[in-house]
Amino acid sequence: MMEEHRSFMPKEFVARYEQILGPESKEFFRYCSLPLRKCIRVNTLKVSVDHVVERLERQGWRLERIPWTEDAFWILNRQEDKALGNTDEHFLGYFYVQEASSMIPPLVLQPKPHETVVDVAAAPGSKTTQMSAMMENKGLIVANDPNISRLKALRFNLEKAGCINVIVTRMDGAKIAQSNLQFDKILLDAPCSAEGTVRKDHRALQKWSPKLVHDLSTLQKHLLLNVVNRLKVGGTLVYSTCTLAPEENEEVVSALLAARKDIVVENVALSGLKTRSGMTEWNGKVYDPQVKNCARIYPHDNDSEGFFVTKLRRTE
Amino acid sequence: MLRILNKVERMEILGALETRFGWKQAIFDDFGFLQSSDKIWICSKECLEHDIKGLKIETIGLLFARQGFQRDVKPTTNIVQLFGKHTTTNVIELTDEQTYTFLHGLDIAGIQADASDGYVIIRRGEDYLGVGILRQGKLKSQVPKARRIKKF
Repeated sequence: MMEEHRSFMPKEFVARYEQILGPESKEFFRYCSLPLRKCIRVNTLKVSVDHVVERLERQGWRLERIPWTEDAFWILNRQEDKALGNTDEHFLGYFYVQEASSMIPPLVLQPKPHETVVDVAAAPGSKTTQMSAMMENKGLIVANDPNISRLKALRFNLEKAGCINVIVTRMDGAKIAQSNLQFDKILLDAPCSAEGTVRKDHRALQKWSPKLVHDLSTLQKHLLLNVVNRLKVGGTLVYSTCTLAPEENEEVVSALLAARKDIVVENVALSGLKTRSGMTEWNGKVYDPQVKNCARIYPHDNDSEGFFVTKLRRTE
Repeated sequence: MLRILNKVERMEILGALETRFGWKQAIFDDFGFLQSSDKIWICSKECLEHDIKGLKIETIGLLFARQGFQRDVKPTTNIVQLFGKHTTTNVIELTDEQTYTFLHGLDIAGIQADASDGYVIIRRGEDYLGVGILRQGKLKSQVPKARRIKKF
Protein backbone atom coordinates (compact mmCIF):
# COMPACT_ATOMS: atom_id res chain seq x y z
CA MET A 1 0.00 0.00 0.00
CA MET A 2 2.71 2.48 0.92
CA GLU A 3 5.54 0.81 -0.99
CA GLU A 4 5.79 3.57 -3.57
CA HIS A 5 6.76 6.23 -1.02
CA ARG A 6 8.41 4.20 1.72
CA SER A 7 11.79 4.61 0.06
CA PHE A 8 11.97 8.41 0.36
CA MET A 9 9.69 9.28 3.29
CA PRO A 10 10.88 8.91 6.88
CA LYS A 11 8.53 6.90 9.12
CA GLU A 12 7.86 9.86 11.42
CA PHE A 13 6.92 12.00 8.41
CA VAL A 14 4.38 9.39 7.26
CA ALA A 15 2.94 9.02 10.78
CA ARG A 16 2.62 12.80 11.16
CA TYR A 17 0.58 13.28 7.98
CA GLU A 18 -1.55 10.22 8.65
CA GLN A 19 -2.47 11.94 11.90
CA ILE A 20 -3.02 15.40 10.33
CA LEU A 21 -4.96 14.27 7.25
CA GLY A 22 -6.52 10.97 8.31
CA PRO A 23 -7.82 8.83 5.39
CA GLU A 24 -6.99 11.72 3.02
CA SER A 25 -3.30 11.13 3.70
CA LYS A 26 -3.33 8.34 1.11
CA GLU A 27 -4.02 10.91 -1.63
CA PHE A 28 -1.43 13.27 -0.15
CA PHE A 29 1.28 10.58 -0.25
CA ARG A 30 0.28 9.60 -3.78
CA TYR A 31 0.70 13.17 -4.99
CA CYS A 32 4.02 13.49 -3.16
CA SER A 33 5.29 10.70 -5.42
CA LEU A 34 4.07 12.26 -8.67
CA PRO A 35 6.22 14.58 -10.79
CA LEU A 36 5.27 18.26 -11.07
CA ARG A 37 4.07 19.98 -14.20
CA LYS A 38 6.60 22.54 -15.47
CA CYS A 39 5.48 26.16 -14.95
CA ILE A 40 6.64 29.45 -16.37
CA ARG A 41 5.90 33.04 -15.45
CA VAL A 42 6.08 35.64 -18.21
CA ASN A 43 8.52 38.44 -17.38
CA THR A 44 6.36 41.48 -17.97
CA LEU A 45 9.36 43.77 -17.41
CA LYS A 46 10.43 42.82 -20.92
CA VAL A 47 7.47 41.51 -22.87
CA SER A 48 3.68 41.01 -22.85
CA VAL A 49 1.97 37.78 -21.83
CA ASP A 50 0.20 37.39 -25.19
CA HIS A 51 3.48 37.80 -27.06
CA VAL A 52 5.24 34.99 -25.18
CA VAL A 53 2.24 32.67 -25.37
CA GLU A 54 1.97 33.19 -29.11
CA ARG A 55 5.67 32.55 -29.69
CA LEU A 56 5.86 29.43 -27.52
CA GLU A 57 2.68 27.96 -29.00
CA ARG A 58 4.09 28.55 -32.47
CA GLN A 59 7.05 26.38 -31.46
CA GLY A 60 4.74 23.53 -30.47
CA TRP A 61 4.43 24.13 -26.70
CA ARG A 62 0.97 23.80 -25.14
CA LEU A 63 0.22 26.19 -22.31
CA GLU A 64 -2.54 26.32 -19.69
CA ARG A 65 -2.91 29.42 -17.53
CA ILE A 66 -2.41 28.85 -13.82
CA PRO A 67 -5.81 29.89 -12.37
CA TRP A 68 -4.53 32.14 -9.58
CA THR A 69 -2.26 34.19 -11.84
CA GLU A 70 -2.54 36.50 -14.84
CA ASP A 71 0.89 35.85 -16.29
CA ALA A 72 1.91 32.24 -15.54
CA PHE A 73 1.30 28.95 -17.30
CA TRP A 74 1.71 25.23 -16.95
CA ILE A 75 3.57 23.63 -19.86
CA LEU A 76 1.50 20.61 -20.81
CA ASN A 77 3.83 18.79 -23.20
CA ARG A 78 7.44 17.79 -23.69
CA GLN A 79 9.13 18.01 -27.09
CA GLU A 80 11.78 15.52 -28.07
CA ASP A 81 13.89 17.82 -30.20
CA LYS A 82 13.83 20.94 -28.03
CA ALA A 83 14.07 22.07 -24.42
CA LEU A 84 12.30 25.09 -22.98
CA GLY A 85 15.56 26.26 -21.42
CA ASN A 86 17.22 26.40 -24.85
CA THR A 87 14.67 28.66 -26.48
CA ASP A 88 15.54 32.20 -27.57
CA GLU A 89 12.74 33.39 -25.31
CA HIS A 90 14.49 31.87 -22.28
CA PHE A 91 17.82 33.45 -23.30
CA LEU A 92 16.08 36.80 -23.63
CA GLY A 93 14.64 36.56 -20.12
CA TYR A 94 11.10 36.63 -21.49
CA PHE A 95 9.96 34.02 -18.99
CA TYR A 96 11.08 32.54 -15.69
CA VAL A 97 10.71 28.86 -14.80
CA GLN A 98 8.98 29.00 -11.40
CA GLU A 99 6.78 26.53 -9.55
CA ALA A 100 3.10 27.51 -9.36
CA SER A 101 2.87 27.54 -5.55
CA SER A 102 5.95 29.70 -5.19
CA MET A 103 4.16 32.45 -7.12
CA ILE A 104 1.58 32.74 -4.34
CA PRO A 105 3.41 34.81 -1.67
CA PRO A 106 4.03 37.86 -3.91
CA LEU A 107 0.43 37.67 -5.16
CA VAL A 108 -0.78 37.81 -1.56
CA LEU A 109 1.70 40.57 -0.64
CA GLN A 110 0.73 42.72 -3.68
CA PRO A 111 3.75 45.05 -3.78
CA LYS A 112 2.91 48.24 -5.69
CA PRO A 113 5.06 50.56 -7.83
CA HIS A 114 6.96 53.13 -5.70
CA GLU A 115 6.60 51.08 -2.49
CA THR A 116 9.51 50.00 -0.28
CA VAL A 117 9.73 46.22 0.03
CA VAL A 118 12.14 43.70 1.53
CA ASP A 119 12.54 40.06 0.48
CA VAL A 120 14.32 38.72 3.55
CA ALA A 121 15.46 35.35 2.15
CA ALA A 122 15.47 36.17 -1.54
CA ALA A 123 17.80 33.71 -3.28
CA PRO A 124 17.62 32.40 -5.95
CA GLY A 125 15.18 35.19 -6.87
CA SER A 126 11.94 33.77 -8.30
CA LYS A 127 9.79 35.87 -5.95
CA THR A 128 12.07 38.91 -6.14
CA THR A 129 11.90 39.01 -9.93
CA GLN A 130 8.14 38.44 -9.72
CA MET A 131 7.75 41.40 -7.35
CA SER A 132 9.99 43.60 -9.47
CA ALA A 133 7.64 42.95 -12.39
CA MET A 134 4.56 43.65 -10.24
CA MET A 135 6.20 46.96 -9.25
CA GLU A 136 7.04 47.79 -12.89
CA ASN A 137 10.69 48.31 -11.89
CA LYS A 138 9.70 51.25 -9.68
CA GLY A 139 10.15 51.68 -5.94
CA LEU A 140 12.69 49.71 -3.97
CA ILE A 141 13.11 46.03 -3.19
CA VAL A 142 15.86 45.06 -0.76
CA ALA A 143 16.67 41.46 -1.73
CA ASN A 144 18.66 39.74 0.98
CA ASP A 145 20.35 36.40 1.49
CA PRO A 146 23.22 35.47 3.84
CA ASN A 147 24.66 32.74 1.58
CA ILE A 148 27.35 33.77 -0.96
CA SER A 149 26.72 31.03 -3.53
CA ARG A 150 22.96 31.51 -3.41
CA LEU A 151 23.50 35.26 -3.83
CA LYS A 152 25.38 34.57 -7.05
CA ALA A 153 22.28 32.81 -8.41
CA LEU A 154 20.09 35.67 -7.16
CA ARG A 155 22.18 38.30 -8.93
CA PHE A 156 22.22 36.29 -12.16
CA ASN A 157 18.43 35.95 -12.13
CA LEU A 158 17.88 39.62 -11.33
CA GLU A 159 20.17 40.66 -14.18
CA LYS A 160 18.57 38.29 -16.67
CA ALA A 161 15.09 39.48 -15.74
CA GLY A 162 16.19 43.13 -16.01
CA CYS A 163 15.34 44.15 -12.41
CA ILE A 164 16.41 47.76 -11.89
CA ASN A 165 14.63 48.49 -8.59
CA VAL A 166 16.55 46.02 -6.42
CA ILE A 167 19.33 46.48 -3.87
CA VAL A 168 20.98 43.14 -3.07
CA THR A 169 22.27 42.69 0.47
CA ARG A 170 24.17 39.89 2.16
CA MET A 171 23.42 39.64 5.87
CA ASP A 172 21.65 37.67 8.55
CA GLY A 173 17.99 38.42 7.79
CA ALA A 174 17.27 39.21 11.44
CA LYS A 175 19.83 42.06 11.31
CA ILE A 176 17.71 43.94 8.79
CA ALA A 177 15.90 45.00 11.97
CA GLN A 178 18.97 47.08 12.84
CA SER A 179 18.78 49.16 9.66
CA ASN A 180 16.97 52.51 9.38
CA LEU A 181 14.56 51.46 6.63
CA GLN A 182 10.86 51.05 7.22
CA PHE A 183 8.98 48.92 4.72
CA ASP A 184 5.50 49.07 3.22
CA LYS A 185 5.72 45.35 2.48
CA ILE A 186 7.88 42.53 3.86
CA LEU A 187 8.21 39.05 2.38
CA LEU A 188 9.68 36.42 4.69
CA ASP A 189 9.74 33.21 2.66
CA ALA A 190 11.63 31.46 5.39
CA PRO A 191 14.29 28.73 5.20
CA CYS A 192 12.40 25.56 6.10
CA SER A 193 12.36 21.75 6.01
CA ALA A 194 11.04 21.96 2.42
CA GLU A 195 8.57 19.08 2.77
CA GLY A 196 6.49 20.68 0.04
CA THR A 197 9.28 20.33 -2.54
CA VAL A 198 9.39 16.55 -2.40
CA ARG A 199 7.63 16.29 -5.76
CA LYS A 200 10.45 18.16 -7.45
CA ASP A 201 13.14 16.12 -5.69
CA HIS A 202 12.51 13.04 -3.55
CA ARG A 203 15.80 13.75 -1.76
CA ALA A 204 14.14 16.76 -0.07
CA LEU A 205 13.19 14.48 2.84
CA GLN A 206 16.61 12.84 3.26
CA LYS A 207 17.59 15.12 6.14
CA TRP A 208 14.07 15.49 7.54
CA SER A 209 13.56 14.74 11.22
CA PRO A 210 11.46 16.13 14.07
CA LYS A 211 14.65 17.73 15.45
CA LEU A 212 15.29 19.52 12.13
CA VAL A 213 11.72 20.81 12.19
CA HIS A 214 12.17 22.05 15.77
CA ASP A 215 15.49 23.78 15.03
CA LEU A 216 14.08 25.49 11.96
CA SER A 217 11.07 26.64 13.95
CA THR A 218 13.42 28.41 16.36
CA LEU A 219 15.23 30.11 13.46
CA GLN A 220 11.97 31.14 11.80
CA LYS A 221 10.61 32.69 15.00
CA HIS A 222 13.88 34.61 15.43
CA LEU A 223 13.67 35.95 11.85
CA LEU A 224 9.99 36.86 11.99
CA LEU A 225 10.09 38.56 15.39
CA ASN A 226 13.00 40.69 14.23
CA VAL A 227 11.99 41.70 10.71
CA VAL A 228 8.48 42.70 11.82
CA ASN A 229 10.12 45.65 13.60
CA ARG A 230 10.79 47.19 10.19
CA LEU A 231 7.13 47.08 9.08
CA LYS A 232 5.33 50.42 8.74
CA VAL A 233 1.99 50.95 10.46
CA GLY A 234 -0.60 49.77 7.95
CA GLY A 235 2.04 47.68 6.15
CA THR A 236 1.74 44.03 5.14
CA LEU A 237 4.06 41.15 5.94
CA VAL A 238 3.70 37.79 4.22
CA TYR A 239 5.25 34.85 6.05
CA SER A 240 5.52 31.76 3.87
CA THR A 241 7.30 28.41 3.68
CA CYS A 242 7.39 25.46 1.32
CA THR A 243 6.78 23.07 4.17
CA LEU A 244 3.64 21.79 5.89
CA ALA A 245 5.02 21.24 9.40
CA PRO A 246 2.83 23.16 11.89
CA GLU A 247 5.90 23.89 14.04
CA GLU A 248 7.36 25.91 11.17
CA ASN A 249 4.10 27.54 10.21
CA GLU A 250 1.21 28.13 12.60
CA GLU A 251 3.47 27.86 15.65
CA VAL A 252 5.76 30.60 14.28
CA VAL A 253 2.82 32.90 13.49
CA SER A 254 1.35 32.22 16.93
CA ALA A 255 4.63 33.21 18.57
CA LEU A 256 4.53 36.52 16.69
CA LEU A 257 0.94 37.19 17.73
CA ALA A 258 1.83 36.54 21.37
CA ALA A 259 4.66 39.10 21.16
CA ARG A 260 2.96 41.76 19.04
CA LYS A 261 -0.62 42.86 19.76
CA ASP A 262 -0.52 45.30 16.83
CA ILE A 263 -0.31 42.47 14.26
CA VAL A 264 -3.43 40.82 12.82
CA VAL A 265 -3.77 37.85 10.48
CA GLU A 266 -5.78 38.62 7.37
CA ASN A 267 -7.51 36.12 5.16
CA VAL A 268 -5.68 34.77 2.11
CA ALA A 269 -7.95 34.42 -0.91
CA LEU A 270 -6.72 34.06 -4.48
CA SER A 271 -9.27 33.28 -7.15
CA GLY A 272 -8.72 29.77 -8.50
CA LEU A 273 -6.53 28.61 -5.60
CA LYS A 274 -7.81 25.96 -3.17
CA THR A 275 -6.47 26.51 0.32
CA ARG A 276 -7.14 25.04 3.76
CA SER A 277 -7.35 26.92 7.06
CA GLY A 278 -4.41 26.96 9.41
CA MET A 279 -4.25 24.37 12.16
CA THR A 280 -5.17 25.79 15.56
CA GLU A 281 -3.42 23.03 17.52
CA TRP A 282 -0.82 20.32 17.03
CA ASN A 283 1.06 17.86 19.18
CA GLY A 284 -0.20 19.18 22.50
CA LYS A 285 0.26 22.87 21.64
CA VAL A 286 -2.65 25.26 21.16
CA TYR A 287 -2.06 28.20 18.82
CA ASP A 288 -3.55 31.69 18.64
CA PRO A 289 -7.05 31.31 17.08
CA GLN A 290 -6.17 33.88 14.38
CA VAL A 291 -3.98 31.23 12.69
CA LYS A 292 -7.12 29.78 11.16
CA ASN A 293 -6.73 32.63 8.63
CA CYS A 294 -3.40 31.16 7.50
CA ALA A 295 -3.49 29.19 4.25
CA ARG A 296 -2.26 25.61 3.89
CA ILE A 297 -1.74 24.44 0.32
CA TYR A 298 -1.47 20.68 0.00
CA PRO A 299 0.03 19.08 -3.14
CA HIS A 300 -3.18 17.23 -3.95
CA ASP A 301 -5.39 20.34 -3.75
CA ASN A 302 -4.04 22.18 -6.80
CA ASP A 303 -1.61 19.58 -8.21
CA SER A 304 1.32 21.70 -7.07
CA GLU A 305 4.07 21.78 -4.45
CA GLY A 306 3.04 22.05 -0.83
CA PHE A 307 3.07 25.57 0.62
CA PHE A 308 2.03 27.71 3.58
CA VAL A 309 1.15 31.41 3.38
CA THR A 310 0.12 33.93 6.03
CA LYS A 311 -0.84 37.56 5.44
CA LEU A 312 -0.10 39.81 8.41
CA ARG A 313 -0.91 43.49 8.81
CA ARG A 314 0.40 45.98 11.31
CA THR A 315 -2.46 48.01 12.77
CA GLU A 316 -2.24 51.37 14.62
CA MET B 1 33.80 52.82 -4.38
CA LEU B 2 30.25 53.25 -5.70
CA ARG B 3 29.21 56.88 -6.17
CA ILE B 4 26.16 58.58 -7.63
CA LEU B 5 26.77 60.28 -10.99
CA ASN B 6 26.27 64.02 -11.00
CA LYS B 7 24.35 65.81 -13.79
CA VAL B 8 27.41 66.40 -15.95
CA GLU B 9 28.68 62.82 -15.68
CA ARG B 10 25.19 61.49 -16.34
CA MET B 11 24.84 63.62 -19.46
CA GLU B 12 28.22 62.44 -20.70
CA ILE B 13 27.23 58.74 -20.44
CA LEU B 14 23.71 59.13 -21.79
CA GLY B 15 24.92 61.57 -24.44
CA ALA B 16 27.38 58.97 -25.74
CA LEU B 17 24.57 56.40 -26.00
CA GLU B 18 22.30 58.90 -27.73
CA THR B 19 25.02 59.72 -30.27
CA ARG B 20 25.86 56.08 -30.98
CA PHE B 21 22.43 54.40 -30.81
CA GLY B 22 19.81 57.18 -30.82
CA TRP B 23 18.63 56.48 -27.24
CA LYS B 24 17.04 59.77 -26.14
CA GLN B 25 18.25 60.85 -22.72
CA ALA B 26 14.69 61.44 -21.52
CA ILE B 27 14.12 57.65 -21.57
CA PHE B 28 16.20 57.50 -18.40
CA ASP B 29 14.61 60.41 -16.51
CA ASP B 30 13.11 58.12 -13.84
CA PHE B 31 16.36 56.33 -13.07
CA GLY B 32 19.49 57.01 -11.07
CA PHE B 33 23.05 56.13 -12.06
CA LEU B 34 26.10 55.11 -10.08
CA GLN B 35 29.68 54.38 -11.07
CA SER B 36 32.50 52.26 -9.71
CA SER B 37 35.74 52.32 -11.80
CA ASP B 38 34.63 51.53 -15.38
CA LYS B 39 31.23 50.09 -14.42
CA ILE B 40 28.04 52.15 -14.56
CA TRP B 41 24.92 51.00 -12.72
CA ILE B 42 21.28 51.99 -13.24
CA CYS B 43 18.69 51.88 -10.48
CA SER B 44 15.20 53.17 -9.72
CA LYS B 45 15.15 56.65 -8.15
CA GLU B 46 13.83 55.21 -4.90
CA CYS B 47 17.01 53.13 -4.47
CA LEU B 48 18.83 56.43 -3.89
CA GLU B 49 16.17 58.18 -1.82
CA HIS B 50 16.21 56.01 1.28
CA ASP B 51 18.58 55.78 4.22
CA ILE B 52 20.29 52.45 3.52
CA LYS B 53 22.81 52.64 6.36
CA GLY B 54 23.04 49.40 8.26
CA LEU B 55 22.51 47.25 5.16
CA LYS B 56 25.43 45.18 3.87
CA ILE B 57 25.06 46.06 0.21
CA GLU B 58 26.28 43.84 -2.60
CA THR B 59 24.74 45.62 -5.59
CA ILE B 60 22.40 48.47 -6.35
CA GLY B 61 20.24 48.11 -9.46
CA LEU B 62 21.51 46.62 -12.68
CA LEU B 63 24.87 46.88 -14.45
CA PHE B 64 24.12 49.42 -17.20
CA ALA B 65 27.33 49.88 -19.17
CA ARG B 66 31.09 49.91 -19.12
CA GLN B 67 33.13 52.97 -19.98
CA GLY B 68 36.21 52.29 -22.11
CA PHE B 69 39.59 54.06 -22.22
CA GLN B 70 38.44 56.46 -24.91
CA ARG B 71 35.23 57.29 -23.02
CA ASP B 72 33.20 55.02 -25.30
CA VAL B 73 30.22 53.52 -23.53
CA LYS B 74 29.23 49.88 -24.00
CA PRO B 75 25.75 48.97 -22.75
CA THR B 76 25.28 45.50 -21.24
CA THR B 77 23.33 42.66 -22.82
CA ASN B 78 20.58 43.03 -20.21
CA ILE B 79 20.22 46.76 -20.83
CA VAL B 80 20.00 46.27 -24.59
CA GLN B 81 17.22 43.73 -24.00
CA LEU B 82 15.34 46.30 -21.88
CA PHE B 83 15.97 49.51 -23.86
CA GLY B 84 17.04 48.31 -27.32
CA LYS B 85 13.63 49.14 -28.79
CA HIS B 86 14.70 52.84 -28.71
CA THR B 87 17.65 52.19 -31.06
CA THR B 88 17.72 54.15 -34.32
CA THR B 89 21.34 53.88 -35.46
CA ASN B 90 24.18 51.34 -35.52
CA VAL B 91 21.87 48.36 -35.30
CA ILE B 92 22.57 45.07 -37.10
CA GLU B 93 19.79 42.75 -38.11
CA LEU B 94 20.67 39.03 -37.98
CA THR B 95 19.07 36.04 -39.67
CA ASP B 96 17.94 33.05 -37.60
CA GLU B 97 21.14 31.19 -38.40
CA GLN B 98 23.34 34.16 -37.54
CA THR B 99 21.38 34.57 -34.29
CA TYR B 100 22.28 31.04 -33.23
CA THR B 101 25.94 31.80 -33.89
CA PHE B 102 25.75 35.09 -32.01
CA LEU B 103 24.01 33.57 -28.96
CA HIS B 104 26.75 30.94 -28.79
CA GLY B 105 29.27 33.74 -28.35
CA LEU B 106 30.85 33.16 -31.79
CA ASP B 107 31.96 35.65 -34.47
CA ILE B 108 30.10 36.25 -37.73
CA ALA B 109 31.94 37.31 -40.88
CA GLY B 110 30.65 39.09 -43.97
CA ILE B 111 28.36 41.57 -42.24
CA GLN B 112 27.01 44.28 -44.53
CA ALA B 113 24.98 46.83 -42.66
CA ASP B 114 24.40 50.54 -42.30
CA ALA B 115 26.59 50.73 -39.19
CA SER B 116 30.05 52.10 -38.43
CA ASP B 117 32.82 50.13 -36.77
CA GLY B 118 32.51 49.95 -33.01
CA TYR B 119 29.74 48.84 -30.64
CA VAL B 120 26.53 47.81 -32.41
CA ILE B 121 23.10 46.72 -31.18
CA ILE B 122 22.08 43.28 -32.41
CA ARG B 123 18.49 42.63 -33.43
CA ARG B 124 16.62 39.67 -34.86
CA GLY B 125 13.07 40.59 -35.89
CA GLU B 126 11.47 42.25 -32.88
CA ASP B 127 14.04 40.94 -30.37
CA TYR B 128 16.98 43.06 -29.23
CA LEU B 129 19.58 40.45 -28.34
CA GLY B 130 22.62 42.29 -27.08
CA VAL B 131 25.81 44.04 -28.14
CA GLY B 132 28.44 43.20 -30.71
CA ILE B 133 31.66 44.79 -31.90
CA LEU B 134 31.81 45.46 -35.64
CA ARG B 135 35.27 45.59 -37.27
CA GLN B 136 35.57 45.68 -41.07
CA GLY B 137 32.60 43.47 -41.74
CA LYS B 138 33.25 41.00 -38.90
CA LEU B 139 30.88 40.92 -35.93
CA LYS B 140 32.27 39.83 -32.58
CA SER B 141 29.61 38.61 -30.13
CA GLN B 142 29.63 40.24 -26.71
CA VAL B 143 27.16 37.85 -25.09
CA PRO B 144 28.56 37.08 -21.59
CA LYS B 145 29.69 33.47 -21.06
CA ALA B 146 27.03 32.80 -18.42
CA ARG B 147 24.24 33.83 -20.82
CA ARG B 148 25.39 31.94 -23.92
CA ILE B 149 23.28 29.15 -25.34
CA LYS B 150 25.19 25.93 -24.69
CA LYS B 151 23.64 23.46 -27.12
CA PHE B 152 23.66 24.22 -30.86
